[in-house]
Amino acid sequence: MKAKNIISTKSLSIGYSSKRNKHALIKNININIPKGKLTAVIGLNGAGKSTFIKTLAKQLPKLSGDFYVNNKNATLYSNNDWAKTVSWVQTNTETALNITVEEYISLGRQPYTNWFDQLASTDINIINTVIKNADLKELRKKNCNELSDGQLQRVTIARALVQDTEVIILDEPTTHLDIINKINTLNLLKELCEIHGKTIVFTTHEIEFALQTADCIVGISKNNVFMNSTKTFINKGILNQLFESENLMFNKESGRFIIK
Amino acid sequence: MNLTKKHIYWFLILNIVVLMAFLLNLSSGSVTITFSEVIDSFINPTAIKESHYLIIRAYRFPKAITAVLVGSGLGVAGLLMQTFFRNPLAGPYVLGLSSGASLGVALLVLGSSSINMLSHLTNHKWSYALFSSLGCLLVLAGVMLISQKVKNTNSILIVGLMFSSIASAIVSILSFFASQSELQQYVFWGFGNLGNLSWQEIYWFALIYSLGISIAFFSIKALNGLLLGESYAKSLGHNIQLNRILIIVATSLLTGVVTAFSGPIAFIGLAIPYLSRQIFNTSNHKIIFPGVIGIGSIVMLLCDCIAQLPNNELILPINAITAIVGAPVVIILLLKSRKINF
Repeated sequence: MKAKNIISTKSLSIGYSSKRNKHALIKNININIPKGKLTAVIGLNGAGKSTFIKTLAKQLPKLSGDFYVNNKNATLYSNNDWAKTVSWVQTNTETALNITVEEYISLGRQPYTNWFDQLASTDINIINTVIKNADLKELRKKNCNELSDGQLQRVTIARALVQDTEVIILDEPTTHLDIINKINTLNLLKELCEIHGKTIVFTTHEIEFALQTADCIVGISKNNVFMNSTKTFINKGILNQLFESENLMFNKESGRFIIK
Repeated sequence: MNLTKKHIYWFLILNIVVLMAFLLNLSSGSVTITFSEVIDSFINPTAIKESHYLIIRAYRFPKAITAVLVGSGLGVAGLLMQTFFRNPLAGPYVLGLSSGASLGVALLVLGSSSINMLSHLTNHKWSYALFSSLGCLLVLAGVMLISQKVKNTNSILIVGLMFSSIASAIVSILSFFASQSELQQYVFWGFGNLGNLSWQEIYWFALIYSLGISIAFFSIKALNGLLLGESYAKSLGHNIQLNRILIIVATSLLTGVVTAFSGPIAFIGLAIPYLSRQIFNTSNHKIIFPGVIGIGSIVMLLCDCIAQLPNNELILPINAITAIVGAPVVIILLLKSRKINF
C-alpha cells in the first residue's frame, strides 16, 4: 500500500544565507513525507536537523530548489494560507509571558480572526475542544509564567492544534522535559496522527523513543538527507552509519544503542 | 482573546479616575479653584468669577489636554517598543528616541542662525514636530537595523544608549556654536513644559497623535502575535516586515510629536506600560493598550498637579517631577512582585 505524500522536496538546498554568500548545509534534498504519519528527523548535532525543518516550516528561507505542500509550491502560499496549512512549534524560550493559558492558546486562531482578533463561536468551539482534549482545563485561567516546563509544552502544542493545520512541524518538542513528559508528548503526537489525521514532523535526540513511536524516520548525516519507514531504518542498520562511533553500537533486536 | 466582565468594570473605574485626575488638575495651581467652579466653567460660565473662568479656559484646560496627550502618547510608544523588543526596559527614552527627537529640535533651534532656510521655520510650532519626528525616526531606524543583526535584547538597549550619546554629543557641539538666546530657548524646551500651547498648536498635536495612536490600535492583533516571539508571529501569518515598519512609524510619530511640543520627557514611556501590566496583570494588548492610555493620562495629570505646587507661584519643570515621583513607584512595585512581568 502506497501512502499519499503531503510534503515533497525537489532538489532542495538548505543552509544560511547572508548578503554576500550562501552557506549551504545540505544540497539536493529529494524526499517525500507521507500524509497522516508521524515522522521523526534525527541526526548528529550540527548536521542540519533544525535547519531542515525550519526551512520546511518557512521559518528560514530555502537556498535553492523547491518544496511542495499538497502539490502546491510553498512559495505560492500567501502568509495567511500558509498559517492555515502548516503550524510551527519550537523549543520554549519565552520567559515570564504574562497572559493566561486560554489567551495563549487562542492566539492560534489569529489566521482565522478579523483585524481586531475577535473570536467567532466556531473559534471558541475549537479552542474549548482542544483545551479539553489536551487536558488543560484546570490550567485554563492560570498565567503562562506560572507553568512548569511540561505544562508549557502542552500549552504550546495546544496553540498549534487550535491553528487547525494539516501539518504540524515541531523542533525538539521533548527537550527540557522529564521522561514521563517526554513519553506523554510523543504519545500525544502519535495520537494526533492516528486519530485526527494530522501530519507531524519533529526533530529529536531521543532516538530510541522515536523508533518506538514514529512511522517514518528522516536521517540527516553529512550532506545527505534520506528517509525510510522506521522498520527499514532499524533492519538495514542505517543507524550505525548515521551515528558512527567506535564507542557505540546499535542493536537491532532490542532497538537500543549499546556502549561498546 | 475576548474581553470579560471584569475588564469592563476595570475600564469603567479607570475612566472615572481619569476624569477625577482631570478635574483635580484643573482646580489646582497658584490659584485654587473649587471642583464645582471647574464644572461650572464648562456648563454655566456666568455663575463663576470671570478671572477663574479665564484661568481655566485659557490656561489650565489646554494644559490638561496636553498632559493627557503626552502621558498616553509616550505610554503607547513605550508599549510598542517593549513588545517589539520583548524587553520591559525598552522605551522611547532608553532607546535614544527622545534624544533623537531632541537632536531634531536642536538642529532647528540652534542651527537656525547659520542656516537661513531653517530660520523662518522656527516660527512654526509644527516644524518642531516635523524635525523631532524625523530625528526620532532616524534613531529608531538605526536601532531596528542593528537589532536585525544583534538578536540579544540587552545589546539592543546598549545600542540605544550609544545612539543617544551620539545625539547628545551633536547637541553639545551645536550648543557650543549657538547664540545665547537660542541656547536659552533650547534649554527651556529641554525642561519639559505642558503649558504655553495655543489651541492651534494643540490641534496639530492631537492630529499627529491620533495618527500614531490609530496605527498602534490597528496593530493590536499583530502585537499580541508578537508576544509569542517573531517566529511564532510569522507562523501565525503576520507579515513581520510590514508590522515592523508600522511600529516604527507609530512610535516615531508619538514620541516625535510629544517631544516637540512638551520637551524630552523622561521615564513615562518606560514606566507606564510597566505600571499598567502590574495593575491589569496581563500583557494582552486588547486590555493593556487602553490601560496604558488611561494610566498614562492619570500619571501625567497628577505629575502636573505636583509641578504646579498648590497655592504657590512657582512651577517646577515637569521633566523632574515625572522621574522623582514615578521612579520610586516602580521600585516599590518591583519589590512587591519580585519579578518583571512581561
